[in-house]
Amino acid sequence: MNNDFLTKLLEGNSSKALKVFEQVSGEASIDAVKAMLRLAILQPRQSLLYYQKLYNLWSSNGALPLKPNPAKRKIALLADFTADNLMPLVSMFCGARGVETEIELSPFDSVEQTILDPSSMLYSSKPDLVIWIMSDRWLKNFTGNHTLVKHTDLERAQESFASLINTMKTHGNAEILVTNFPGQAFPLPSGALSHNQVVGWNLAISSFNLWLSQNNSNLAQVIDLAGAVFREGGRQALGTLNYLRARMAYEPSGTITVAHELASAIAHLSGKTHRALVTDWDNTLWGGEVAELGSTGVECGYGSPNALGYRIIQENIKALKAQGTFLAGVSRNDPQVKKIFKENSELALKEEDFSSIQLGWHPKSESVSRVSEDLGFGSEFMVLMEDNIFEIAQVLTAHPYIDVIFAGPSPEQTLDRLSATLFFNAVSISEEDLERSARGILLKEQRELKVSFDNIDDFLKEINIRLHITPLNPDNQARIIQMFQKSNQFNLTTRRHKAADLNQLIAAGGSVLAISYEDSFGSQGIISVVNLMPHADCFQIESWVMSCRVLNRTVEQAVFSYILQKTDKKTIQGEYIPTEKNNLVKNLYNSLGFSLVPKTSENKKELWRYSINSEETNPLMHFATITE
Amino acid sequence: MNDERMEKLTEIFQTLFNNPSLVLHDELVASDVPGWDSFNHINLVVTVEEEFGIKFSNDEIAELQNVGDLKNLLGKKLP
Repeated sequence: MNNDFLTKLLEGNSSKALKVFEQVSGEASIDAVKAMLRLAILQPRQSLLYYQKLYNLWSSNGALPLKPNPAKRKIALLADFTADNLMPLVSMFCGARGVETEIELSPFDSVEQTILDPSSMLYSSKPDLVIWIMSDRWLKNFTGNHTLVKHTDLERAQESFASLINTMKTHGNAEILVTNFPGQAFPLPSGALSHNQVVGWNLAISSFNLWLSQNNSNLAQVIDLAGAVFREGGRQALGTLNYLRARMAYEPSGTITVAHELASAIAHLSGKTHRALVTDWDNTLWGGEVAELGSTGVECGYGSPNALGYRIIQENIKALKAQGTFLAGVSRNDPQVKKIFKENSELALKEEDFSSIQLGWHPKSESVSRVSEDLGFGSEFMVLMEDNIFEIAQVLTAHPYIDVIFAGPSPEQTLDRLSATLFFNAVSISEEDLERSARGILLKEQRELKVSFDNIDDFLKEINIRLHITPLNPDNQARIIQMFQKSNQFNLTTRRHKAADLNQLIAAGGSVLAISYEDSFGSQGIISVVNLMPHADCFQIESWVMSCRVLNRTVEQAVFSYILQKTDKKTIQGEYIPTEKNNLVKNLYNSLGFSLVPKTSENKKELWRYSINSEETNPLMHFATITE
Repeated sequence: MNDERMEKLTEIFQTLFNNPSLVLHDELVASDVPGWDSFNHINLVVTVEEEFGIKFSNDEIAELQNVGDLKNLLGKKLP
């Protein structure tokens, strides 16, 4: 995965991402090309030109299905409007979902003739799936264009519809999908009126749609085009000008959303539904980091617009369980943060909603592998929801077929993507689906976390980590003090230094060093601070704090290498003062090659020493370039 | 029409007709470009409208004869 491509794509510079793709695709592996194309195609809310460019790129790369073990579908598309522009989009969106399609379109505005003629393309092409997509014009053939619709006319439309479906079933063996009605491009008044034997148009459409769905087990599966068009802004997605110009039932945004809706339905019927949402926690399910702010300090609930946004994200994720979608939590955090679900009553999600929870400081790709083991299916059936592009890239290196919902930066953006990506769109549901979620809970088994860096080294080499180290100065003072005040987990001594303390330390000959982090995904600013104090026989690490965002990137090893370099081979002494929250760094000094100083009656502290002359002086492995 | 707009218009043509080496000139007409049929003409109009954030009237579209006409019309619509 090219990180420049991923960053541009997820941060909203999608056209630039495609330019990067064009530059790098020639030398990338076929898996990387497929992954980049898939992520680009499944980005919602893009322009028609963007998808047209992608279609050209996808076609020039062989129009391949972009998921493993693709399904093949031969599809006949029946439409009573100009639907030619839907076909390439549907075929590309299906490809991205792992369905290879061959689509044939019925002749313009001749749905009935095509269905009733046994020698028509509908039967001669022997499709295994028929999609009948209707505009409100079809319904008006039966009701006329009146503000009020007679119940008897609606019933006639229903009978005719059922008869046409039965004819298709008589002449062919294809599965049949039909779309419901999204409403009118040019609405008539009195939509909700109801009187004796007549109803207004909106009621007529609702009534027909209800009938369709209630009958779907006998007649056909129903695609919720009404929902799709509503999601895309309602009437502005329907063909107004385009209908007049070319009998197109949709404007560009509507065409794209309808194509997405059709493709997700085809994927569902082809067994390519996403079965699990694997979600990050901090800044994805709630605002802020729970380990820093505490269970009730994060944003989620009713206290602010953002808190409400996160609350609705949780509600909508929880809602997926009703149709059998598994939820999994993957968070680089201390396992004890799980208590947030008990301690914060404003969260919509509960711990038991997750069929698998993976917490720990190991690479996130490993958490996804463990979710896969817990749930019993591969990551190609999963969607990762995550706010950190670094983590997304890292997961994609090990799980190239997982799909992605980029979370944030604001909760309403997450909500929009959750809705627009259509990863969990079902057109049918089985008893097994309904029971699945409950069974998933039974599968839940917390396994001991195992740290593995098998793939991470290559990944870290690739992302070009740069650390820049600067002493305390007026420009960085505020951030340094903030880090001392707020860092709880990666904090060896939890000394809450303020400006006066730091000035005193410097006056006594010490150094306060701020470490800024940057990689190919961008800058994270100051992410660590180390206070060094010289003594006659050693250097003391008086304090060391670091943001957990950059854990597992060998930053601590790089920082310590820098300390070694700067302390002129003197012995280095570190102290660990345990608190409720800093268990994370309990073994830090040990892992860096320090030895524990035995406690005596005079020394009751947990002190660690690193001597350059000791046997443990192997250079520390890290992947950062350090500058001052 | 300034360079930036011309670049965008060219990008639209090149993408829509899947021809990265297509060069626009004022006299260019539909019959010169493979794939520029009546259906793709509407796609072209719709894409130009979407990318430039404007709308053409049906009469304006009917009067378009070549790329020069489209550029002139865009020039009138854009500030």
